[in-house]
Amino acid sequence: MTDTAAHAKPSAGSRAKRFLKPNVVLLALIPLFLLYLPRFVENTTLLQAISVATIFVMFAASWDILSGYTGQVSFGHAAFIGTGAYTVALFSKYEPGVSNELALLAGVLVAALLGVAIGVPCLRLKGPYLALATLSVAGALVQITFIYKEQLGGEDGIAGVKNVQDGAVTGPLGEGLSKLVLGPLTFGGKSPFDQYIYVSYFVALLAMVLVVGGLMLLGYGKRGLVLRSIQQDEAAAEAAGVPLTRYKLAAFVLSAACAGFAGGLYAQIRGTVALDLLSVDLSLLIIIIAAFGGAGSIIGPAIGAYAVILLQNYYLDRASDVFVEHPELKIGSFALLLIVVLIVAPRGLVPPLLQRLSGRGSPSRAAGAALTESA
Amino acid sequence: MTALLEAEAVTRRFGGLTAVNEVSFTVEQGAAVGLIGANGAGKTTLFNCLTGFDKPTSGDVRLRGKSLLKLPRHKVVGSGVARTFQIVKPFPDLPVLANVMVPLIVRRTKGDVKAEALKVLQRVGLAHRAASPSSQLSEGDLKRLEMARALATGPELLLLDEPFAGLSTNEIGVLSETINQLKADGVTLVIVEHKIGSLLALVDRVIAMDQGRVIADGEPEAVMRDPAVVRAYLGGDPEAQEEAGHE
Repeated sequence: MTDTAAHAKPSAGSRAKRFLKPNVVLLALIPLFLLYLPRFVENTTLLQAISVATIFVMFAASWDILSGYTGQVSFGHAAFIGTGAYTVALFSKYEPGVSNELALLAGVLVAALLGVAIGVPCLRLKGPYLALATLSVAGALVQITFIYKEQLGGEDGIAGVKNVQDGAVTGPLGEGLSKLVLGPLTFGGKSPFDQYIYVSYFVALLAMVLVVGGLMLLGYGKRGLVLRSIQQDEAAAEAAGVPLTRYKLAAFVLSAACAGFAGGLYAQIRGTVALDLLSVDLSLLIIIIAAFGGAGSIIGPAIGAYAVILLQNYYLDRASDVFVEHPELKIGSFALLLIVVLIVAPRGLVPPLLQRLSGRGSPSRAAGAALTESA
Repeated sequence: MTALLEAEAVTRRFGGLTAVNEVSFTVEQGAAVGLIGANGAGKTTLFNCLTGFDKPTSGDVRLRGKSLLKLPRHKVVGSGVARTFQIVKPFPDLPVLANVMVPLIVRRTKGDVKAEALKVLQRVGLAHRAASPSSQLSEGDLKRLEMARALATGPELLLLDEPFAGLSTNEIGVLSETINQLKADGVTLVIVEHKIGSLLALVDRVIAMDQGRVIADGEPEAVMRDPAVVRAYLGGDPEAQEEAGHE
């Protein structure tokens, strides 16, 4: 027995090591590709759709660190997104002197606080009960926008949110990247409307790389492993010495903060906030995206967001007039598509794909092993 | 000198049922103690009370004189009491190595966590499966993994809940060797087990329970000859009960 163990040590060690390392090179190609895409794609409608998808990548990735990783499946992620967005909008409405970045930071903080407020009472809830609780919080927030209609606008939302181009940081950053990628002359020659599309495209991209990169570092690292252990079996995690409360709450707060950030930035890019940012539809769409791409891998929901949102906001409209006339058919189609995907690839599409691209095991999530499961 | 573990009048009631009734005993550093009893005798409830997974209705559980009762579960683990589960609870989607890394990470182990985890796997003879998803392990290997994960918490006291349940005779033999090795390494053990023959080979003391009470406590041979123990095992002789005793 000791013989076998000693003999197996080096190979087992190096093999195990590979399980825990995502393929960084492969993953870095995605933002690089997106960075240079506007140089070759002149279709600004498509670029706009990609910007929205980039925002949704943050929605989905932030959902994943809470739900995919820790197993606290939230059906009310829109609550955090909407909180961030509405906070930013309220600053524009009542304190326009406050800088965009400060308003965004406030959005992050308020969303994080909501994360604590929901996370603490939800610590003891699991499965459908947790789902219901999170769902009702988002629902309650929608009602609050009607109760405080004067301030929050009810179904009209709030218009005139200070946009990214006005931001002291985001403005120059977005313009700088636009000039870098397109060339200063090309960028300068665009209409202000198109310029705004480019600026918001790059700001969204940069934010996404930071948020998703950060979440992946965490998720694929040691702390991510601990989060996954909670998702796998709470009692076993406790027996392994995991401080359950601390980790579960931290996941709630981090997820809420990232969602609030993405929501706030989305508000600044759109220039408006409305009930769609708090809606059940949004929460459901995020879950569909995550399951489609592969929950519990960060990268899966991230890529899933591009696929689903581009289909929803761009390609389906061009595929058939049915979707233009009846946009509500889209989410139904996604649900159907998801069923098919989950039958074919129960772990979502992205993890097995990445695995095939870069060989056994290497692109896996921190926890990685699901990828090598025979199922 | 204080004992490593002290249970003092531990009582656990579920409504009208008293599952554990005024149980007191101590476990000395380095001892290997077997906990036996028929189904429903209260072993698992007592076990849960000792490891912080359940709170006694009354009584106290102390490690080196310090009560464990007010501590949350992870602090009980952190203070040196680790357990395994009768029905194994691996993190099924995680590789074997990652299963063992989790306790090392939350203990803030310095240095290379993977290398440390591998060392622990070697102790239980599972290093060759380090990279396998734990869902692919055999029942015997799962029991080892369960033990490895508990060992990785750095326990002074390791409580094994029916480590032999569901294993073949062959697997029991191999696992017994591993447990003996842990004993030799100085780990204090409390083992709940139905397979008495295999258990007696490992422990130097046996506590027998019946209907929530301790009915005998002492040298294995003496306990097994104790009339109360024989009666609790349905009046049969212990060897015969061993055949019928597994779940």
